[in-house]
Amino acid sequence: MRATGRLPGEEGLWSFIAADMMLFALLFGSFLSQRAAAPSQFAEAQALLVPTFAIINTIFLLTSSLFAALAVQAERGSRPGGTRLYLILTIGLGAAFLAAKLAEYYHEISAGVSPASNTFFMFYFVITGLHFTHVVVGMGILAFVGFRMRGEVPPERRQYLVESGASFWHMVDLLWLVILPIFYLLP
Amino acid sequence: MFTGVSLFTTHTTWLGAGVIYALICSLTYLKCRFVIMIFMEIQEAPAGWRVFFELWMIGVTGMIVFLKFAA
Amino acid sequence: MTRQNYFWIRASLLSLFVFFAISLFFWGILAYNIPPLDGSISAADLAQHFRDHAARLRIGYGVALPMYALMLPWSVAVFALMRRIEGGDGIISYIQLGGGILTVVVMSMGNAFWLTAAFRPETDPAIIQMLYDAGCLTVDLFFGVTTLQYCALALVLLQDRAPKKLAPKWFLWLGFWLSIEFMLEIIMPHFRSGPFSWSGLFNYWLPFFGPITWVTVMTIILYRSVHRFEEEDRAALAASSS
Repeated sequence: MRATGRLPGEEGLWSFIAADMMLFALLFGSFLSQRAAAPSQFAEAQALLVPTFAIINTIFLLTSSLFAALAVQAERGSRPGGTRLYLILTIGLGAAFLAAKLAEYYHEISAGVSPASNTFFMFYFVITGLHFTHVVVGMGILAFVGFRMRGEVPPERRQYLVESGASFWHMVDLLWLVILPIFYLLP
Repeated sequence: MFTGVSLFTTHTTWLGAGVIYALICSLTYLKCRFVIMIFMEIQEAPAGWRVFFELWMIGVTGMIVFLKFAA
Repeated sequence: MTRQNYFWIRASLLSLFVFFAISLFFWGILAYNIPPLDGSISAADLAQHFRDHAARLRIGYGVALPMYALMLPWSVAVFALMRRIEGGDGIISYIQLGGGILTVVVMSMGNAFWLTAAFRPETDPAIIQMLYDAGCLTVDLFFGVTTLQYCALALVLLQDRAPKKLAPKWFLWLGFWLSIEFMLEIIMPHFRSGPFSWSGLFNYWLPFFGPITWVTVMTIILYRSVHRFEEEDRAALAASSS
């Protein structure tokens, strides 16, 4: 069991996570302040989005975070084995998220929408696109973690790797939880 | 569960927009709090980090609430 | 390392600050880049700006341009210290060196375009605009070499095995983040106005001033680290002669 009062995984990664969260907070604030200045235009643009895509993606990401947390628990020994399976499930749901997101982008672009359409869609494509990149990177990190855990690896190192990968992944989920309401849900 | 409620709120017409807005903001805050405190284990983290994450959640939720009225 | 080498390493590290001071005044203030012209400026207004302030712009860009070379000794000094830390046949120090040298080239090229626009501002406004755009796009989209430079630097310092580390982990990981954050510039060519354009919050203010702050602190850390390497050398010399 690990001691409390510390951050899981690589401590330096948390600076990275904090900085990323601040960048997105700045992006969110930028979007929201533009929205406050032109509420009806933004509402019109928002009506072109299909919330179903976003709800499905939220389920994908929240569940994937659950599996990432289970992977961490498995490594800490409170659940029998299965870290590898949990990591695969996490990555798999990440891939499902990407597929759904691409389908959504295709739907939007076919409808004639683009980042140049208006300010709403400029922010929408940039913020969700940046998030998309983070999902890809997160999947890469988890795959790297899975790869590094093959063979004889000491338990502390295994925990460190899985905790680090999971921490980044949870941040990716967290960011999506804000993207969902600000673009899709707010009336 | 939270997602189900979100889905519900997008399809409800009989609740006033203000109530829906408040509901969405509080649910977002709670969902973020869950991921941060439980999944990211920040409730076990050093105090400085807990403060940072609390401020982030409050700041982001606050922006969603107050920037609605900025115009 | 000889005493003279340490002198040049220290002097070269400090050349970064000389460069910053010159650049701040000539590029930033004289050449009207801090704050920048709005990305949405029209060709006519841009040409008028270049015509109205031609002499001042020529001085600003004309002095700033050759001074980018001061980043060269700085990168080399950083390389020398990194090599001490990385040791052996490590290549990461060379990645920093390569990235640093290329950053000099890139920044200089961008300024050359702007200087050209100021050189003959009575020409067609469309040409002025294209030269201005070329400068902005060059400086912004060549970030790859600078990203590699800073990542290499942070990576080697993370490998520092000394009991008293040169820099805390969080600072080095912040360096990773800042240099990777440059990648947001990839979207910059798609926007001629707003926060993602050349002059915007996310593609001008953040990527310029974030890394500059980090690199300033890093250079101070490295400058103070030279003392440690001197001590190591003295100790090694004393040990081998006793």
